[in-house]
Amino acid sequence: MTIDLTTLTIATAAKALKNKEFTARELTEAVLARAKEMNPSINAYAEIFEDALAQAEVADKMIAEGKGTMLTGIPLAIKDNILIEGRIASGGSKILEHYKATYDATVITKLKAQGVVFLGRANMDEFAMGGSGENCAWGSVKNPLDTSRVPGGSSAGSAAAVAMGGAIASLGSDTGGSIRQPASFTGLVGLKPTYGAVSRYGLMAMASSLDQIGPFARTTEDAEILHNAIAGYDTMDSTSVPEGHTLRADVPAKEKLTIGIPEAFVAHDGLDADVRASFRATMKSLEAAGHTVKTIHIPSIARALAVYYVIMPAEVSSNLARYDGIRYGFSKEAQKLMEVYTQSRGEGFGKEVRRRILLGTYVLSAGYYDAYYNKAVAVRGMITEEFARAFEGVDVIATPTAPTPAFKLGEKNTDPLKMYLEDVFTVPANIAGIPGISVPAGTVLRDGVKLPVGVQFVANHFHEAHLFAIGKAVEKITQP
Amino acid sequence: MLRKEDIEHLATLARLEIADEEKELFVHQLDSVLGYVSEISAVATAHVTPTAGVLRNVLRDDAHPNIGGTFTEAILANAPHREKQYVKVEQIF
Repeated sequence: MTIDLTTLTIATAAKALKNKEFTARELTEAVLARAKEMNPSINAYAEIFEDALAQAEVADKMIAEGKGTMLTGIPLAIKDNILIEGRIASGGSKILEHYKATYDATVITKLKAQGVVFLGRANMDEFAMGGSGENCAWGSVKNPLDTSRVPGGSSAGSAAAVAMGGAIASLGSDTGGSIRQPASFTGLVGLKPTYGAVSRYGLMAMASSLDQIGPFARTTEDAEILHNAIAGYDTMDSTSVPEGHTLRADVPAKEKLTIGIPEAFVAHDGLDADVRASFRATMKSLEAAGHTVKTIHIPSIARALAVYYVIMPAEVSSNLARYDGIRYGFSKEAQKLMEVYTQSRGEGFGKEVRRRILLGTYVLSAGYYDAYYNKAVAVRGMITEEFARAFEGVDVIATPTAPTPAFKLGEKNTDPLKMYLEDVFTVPANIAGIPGISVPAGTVLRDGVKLPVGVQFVANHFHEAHLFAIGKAVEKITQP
Repeated sequence: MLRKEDIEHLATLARLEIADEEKELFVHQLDSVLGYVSEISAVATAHVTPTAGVLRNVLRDDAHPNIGGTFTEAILANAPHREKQYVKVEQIF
């Protein structure tokens, strides 16, 4: 049995498992060996689960009994902020170093029912705050394609685990680009579903009006399989959108799509020249393949990043109040209760988390609330309306995923604002609550290394089908 | 422009101990981020009606509670300090 672990997809592995070309145990053994070989240099995993083989045996039994699905026996990496009962979930933070989950996240319950094999918990920027994987309490994650570079963040380990051949696909979470940007940096497909499409029950809250769980995969087809497995209404998440809700549309399947390009936005100063050229080439090829490309205007889209860096820290400062050193997590011994709070939080949280808590506290404080928070909420409403209008004329909207290819470790982490500007193209989808996908669309050369570059498409609420269609269309161009 | 005292005030509100040298750094970095996000103040939003969206009841039925004690041990096992079935904390008053 030979398995090429860097190219194996869910779809091909499922077929091979069904045809008994290999067993789930053999597959898990191979992926596990690869993960253990690569992890010391990449640091994709905070922990590799010792019982992965036992999980695979359960999957083999399911397959033998004819109860297998596309995902039965497929080894996945899970971001360290998604709870699996009885296992540690640290959120990449010292404050939760020994925290053991007391229940399964809904996405985990759904995947367990299909006999997925959980290989380990993937490293991440602390509480999903960061765009490089350098803010992880358990060390920086490296890009498997060039270990002097970052894999992107915050779902750094989820991307790196798949890119290094140490998982077939993975789950991440995306608050402002944390799935799509690392997917772009590591040559993977990454999907941020519609807000409310996937339950967040059991996901550590970062910014609740923006967070979504989504898949990393090697192909659009795989991302679609994994998305369909985790999506659905859940009474345990009050933001989950019920079946039959007006936001849920029946999306007619379309062979040829109309693609809108917000030209004024794509003209962004910080966009790398090679990334711009790659984006242009992709759009040209899609047009040649029969899709319609047209210029659109979303006047307030360029404000989305500023809106995001008000709303997100505001929600972070509120959500992270729960980490107080009392009920769980790191707790500093002190004489007074107040000192237990301040010292546990001061020592347990990393620098970027402390910075965002202070920023959020500022924009929510008396005297600044209207000027920052309320203003940002109003501009958010404008952006959402402008997207809705734009989708009256186009099926999807295209931009680059990130303004640059994977950058060097240490290049941006001393200047927070510089790091924040990485999110300029991904943030609008979270602000408007719409789905977005990043699909590999070629490479650019840096220091003699070919680095992948992704193209991003966003669609109207619950129009993921259009994203999968356009993703497959891009793959037809890049891998004919 | 923020001052060091502003950082100290925010840290108190957020129950967050910040080292002295970090206060200076945060003054500078928060100023730079606030400078950037202030661009939204120039956006005309008077025509935007503040709205919470379409309201619907998102609460589950007040029924089918967990059986008492199901999760107690797992939850208390995470507590830094406990005494029997209680979380133990420093004296409050």
